[in-house]
Amino acid sequence: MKRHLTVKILALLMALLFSVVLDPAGIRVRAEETKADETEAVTDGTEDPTHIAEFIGFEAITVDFPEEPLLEYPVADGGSFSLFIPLAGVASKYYTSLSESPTVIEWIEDTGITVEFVHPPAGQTTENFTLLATTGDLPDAIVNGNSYYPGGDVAAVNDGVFMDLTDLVEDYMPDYYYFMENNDLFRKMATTADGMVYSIYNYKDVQAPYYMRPQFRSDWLEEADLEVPRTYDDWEDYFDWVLENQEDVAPFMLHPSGIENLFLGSFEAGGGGVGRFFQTNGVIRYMFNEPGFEDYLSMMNDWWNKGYIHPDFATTDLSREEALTNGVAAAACSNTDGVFTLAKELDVETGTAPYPRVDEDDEYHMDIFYFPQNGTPTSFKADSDNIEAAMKFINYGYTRHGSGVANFGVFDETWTMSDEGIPEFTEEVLTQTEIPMSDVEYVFRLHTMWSKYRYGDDISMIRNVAETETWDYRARWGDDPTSDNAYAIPTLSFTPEAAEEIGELTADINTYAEEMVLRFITGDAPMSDYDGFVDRLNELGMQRLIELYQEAFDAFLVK
Amino acid sequence: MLKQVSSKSFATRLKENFLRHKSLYLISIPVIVFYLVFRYLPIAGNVIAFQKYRPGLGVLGSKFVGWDNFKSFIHDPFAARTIKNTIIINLLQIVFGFPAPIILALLLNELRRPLYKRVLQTASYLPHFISMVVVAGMIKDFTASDGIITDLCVMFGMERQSMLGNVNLYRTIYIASGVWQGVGWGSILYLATISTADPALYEAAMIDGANRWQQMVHVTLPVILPIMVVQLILRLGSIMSEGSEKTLLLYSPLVYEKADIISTYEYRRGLIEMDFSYGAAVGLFNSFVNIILLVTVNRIARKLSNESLW
Repeated sequence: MKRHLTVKILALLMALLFSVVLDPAGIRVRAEETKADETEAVTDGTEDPTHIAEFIGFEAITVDFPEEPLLEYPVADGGSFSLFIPLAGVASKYYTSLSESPTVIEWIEDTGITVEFVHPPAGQTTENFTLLATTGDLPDAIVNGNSYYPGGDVAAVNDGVFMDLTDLVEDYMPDYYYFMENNDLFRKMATTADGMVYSIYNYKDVQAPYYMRPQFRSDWLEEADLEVPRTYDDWEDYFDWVLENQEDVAPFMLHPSGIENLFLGSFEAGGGGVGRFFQTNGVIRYMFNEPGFEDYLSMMNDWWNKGYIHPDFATTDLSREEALTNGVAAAACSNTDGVFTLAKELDVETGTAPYPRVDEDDEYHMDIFYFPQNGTPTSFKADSDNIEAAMKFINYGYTRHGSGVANFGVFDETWTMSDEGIPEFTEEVLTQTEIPMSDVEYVFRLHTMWSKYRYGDDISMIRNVAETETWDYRARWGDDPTSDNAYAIPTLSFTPEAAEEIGELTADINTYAEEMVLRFITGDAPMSDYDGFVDRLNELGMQRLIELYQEAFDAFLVK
Repeated sequence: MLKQVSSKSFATRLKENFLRHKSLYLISIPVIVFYLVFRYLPIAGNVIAFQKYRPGLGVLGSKFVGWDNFKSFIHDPFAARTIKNTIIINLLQIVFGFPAPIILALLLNELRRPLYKRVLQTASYLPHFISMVVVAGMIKDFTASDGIITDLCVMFGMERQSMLGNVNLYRTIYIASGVWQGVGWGSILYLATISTADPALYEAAMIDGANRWQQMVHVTLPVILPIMVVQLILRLGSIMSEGSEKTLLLYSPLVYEKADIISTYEYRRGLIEMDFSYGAAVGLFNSFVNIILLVTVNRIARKLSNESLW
């Protein structure tokens, strides 16, 4: 069981690279079609939850590129600038600097702008950034600076570390601006309440099935002669079979925090692909403030008492992917790509299930909604002398051809343009055997880089095109007809004061709640104390926290 | 003599002294610079504990808020618990962890077969060289519900469970593993001191009719007493600041009640939330309590045994 530790770790790293670090992937389905189904599914409910995008007053639209790029490339007298970007783990196996990547060489040739990369030492990105910011030596552009500066990129602009891009974006990044103008939801997310553009973000307007799913051992399910579990009763049948027939296997590996998001979704208590905060008809709701949360805890406590939950779930170092594929547990809610890769490697059979429901025909509103603002912000140093070169360089990733290079690699070598104007990998790349599949996304293309227009991962990742099983495994329940993302909320931006208050409140609330959740589940605190738990959370300022989110959400809506 | 020296000005004296011991002064420069740059200069950075520090605004530009950060720590609903846990865990560590190497050293000293003694000694200090991350991984594995230590405890009647997840067992595991890891290494110092004891003392004791036990109590122990006191004072001096790394690796929200110490709470608040000023304030508070403790213990030690750091 523990013999293949190295293999397991490697596989896990690979799985992580593909799925967690690099953002959830996307499928190239027209969003209008997906949306139509979802709206239909939810309108006959009594509560009439509305699809988020519709509720906010926007369509989840896809925007096509303009006929010609709005900025002409290569840029005459392009100039040069410096760029702060961590070198992703796999990339560092092949390059000492991103300037050696064929994709980057092509990019520099296409844009006529040269770039000097500043790679922080591995594992010290934040420290390195803070040092550079404090001494005023930041490079001209910074990738992901949002997560390195306390309070995020808006705070960094307010503190004079990053540049306010509001007046520059239209001139220097017209192709990015084009998406802001044509996708209102994107504009709202990419600007603050008073319309400031603070960072350049990835743009992606396709939806995809969520990468988290409840998963089980399909060989055991078959042996037990059971259907794929849909309700908690179904799951309990499977667990009972495991308890009786599999020695030394725990039926279920719970999330170490005890907060199993996919389950909470079916108790209307947040979670799912949405998070601790969600909204119904414009009203912000919070996981720990929901009556459904008590029902969830009662069920988990019941599961614990019945021996369904692995006794070490809260302290183990084993990931849920590993637990499921190593015969430690018979089920877990976990990352499909990670499980699939590990299962293949360890030669075990696993399967995915739909989001579990209390009653079979319950609707599930906490499915993920992929907002068009899709992570990886690029920010610019406040007093940069090379701002024009830097912004024009990044802008290339939002043109039709540039987005091809950004997502698919070197034109005519790794990809060609189809007649419909969508890039496609060449046969040579898809069938090559020289580079292992775990590394291809960084050798022939560059999966993590600066901000860009993103295609769905089903067409823009070599592995997903060359070996479709991984994607099929993930997408198996993507069309669940009674599941929708009506409760989703966008990433909110807060005023500096609000952000600080939220930081203080969440620190206390999380410390208390995370401890109590585990104690309720393991029976260390009796469920009869639940009212006291809510009272204490209110003392710690839970209602104020919800209020702050509501204010930010209201501001978002009227933007 | 005193008068003679003071009749010259400081500068003149320094000059004379410097000329006489030129090489000594030169040799000491790197050490002095090291302490100035890495030990004294950073003290000035504590000023951010009294500010609302923003990296972008710098130390000079950030807003001065006085004692606000300290107040918010004292008023924090979890401050009392973390302070209590810090003190309890460290005291337990001293109660069990401090005498252990002394006892081991005394026992080893009584062994008469050098090879056996050496093997035992080496084996006992090996755990010291294992990285804390690996040690924590081992502890987690051994105390998991199917771990070897759990198996042993179950044999003696304990209910099978994840031991690290049990709030009542957490401190026991933490302290016991600390003793296991540190006992051998800690005993080296005492063994070295014991070996400096004058054999004549033992011979004299034997002539007076002292048996092995009496020799240990009346000869060996007094020899290592000064070292013991210094060690104890040093250990007490770091009572508020030890254990953050190991706690971070071992604890889970399930055992916060007895495991969460100042430095881990501070880590979650200060580093994860990037509240640098708050972190600096808690750090300063910590050091302040530490200094008081150190001075007190030093004074007590001097009174009781005439041994002290200063």
